[in-house]
Amino acid sequence: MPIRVHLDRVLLDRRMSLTELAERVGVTIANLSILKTGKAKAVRFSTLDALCRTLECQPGDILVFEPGPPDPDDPDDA
Amino acid sequence: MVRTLGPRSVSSFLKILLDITLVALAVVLVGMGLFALLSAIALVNPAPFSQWRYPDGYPILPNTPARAANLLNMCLGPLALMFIVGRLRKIFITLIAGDPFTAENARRLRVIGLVLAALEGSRYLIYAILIWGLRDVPRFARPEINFTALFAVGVMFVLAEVFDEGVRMKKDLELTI
Repeated sequence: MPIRVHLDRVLLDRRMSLTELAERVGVTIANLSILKTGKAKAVRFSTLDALCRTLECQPGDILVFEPGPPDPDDPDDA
Repeated sequence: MVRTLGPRSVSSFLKILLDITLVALAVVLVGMGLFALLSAIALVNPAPFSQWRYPDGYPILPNTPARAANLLNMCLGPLALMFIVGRLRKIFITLIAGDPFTAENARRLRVIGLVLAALEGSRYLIYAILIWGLRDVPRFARPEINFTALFAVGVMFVLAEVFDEGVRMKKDLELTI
């Protein structure tokens, strides 16, 4: 998928751990890990809202579009 | 409000009914198996069973290959039904657990559809064998097209597709943050 998640970069800039973010946003660490590693299929607006509020950033700071060849293993990319 | 999923719901009540049906079918199948065994013996050596007759004088055990074939066909029904009820029981266990959209359930529904189709097909196959092997096919052995069974086969395959879609949606939901 050409959408990349730069949550780790934003977290590093804010000097915040994933555990702290999980506590402040109200999302489990497991789910944030899925998001951070780019395995997530979708992000709810409510989650994005909470992330942006907590990290004081824009959605574009977390999610970036990087065009590339479609992933043959991903049915959504086919 | 009546609950459809989870413990003490309609699903758990239906699962109990399926449990009872499964046991009843096993009893019927054992009985029919014994009857089929005696019939096979009677076909080879009818003498010991010559007195086994209905009040109107008609022999209880099949005395012709056509009646034996029909008995075999009758045994296939409970056997297939037992197989289907067993699969339905497993599906209902997942309904009680509250997680019905699994790949196993989709496969189970597809298998039930195949068994129903095979059961329906076997009736015509046995009829075809009887026509080929015997000049006169008894009236009881002649199958009629069972539209309900054919419709059930179609429904099972459609339901299997629905469950496959459910599995895909569940997977997507699990990866939605």
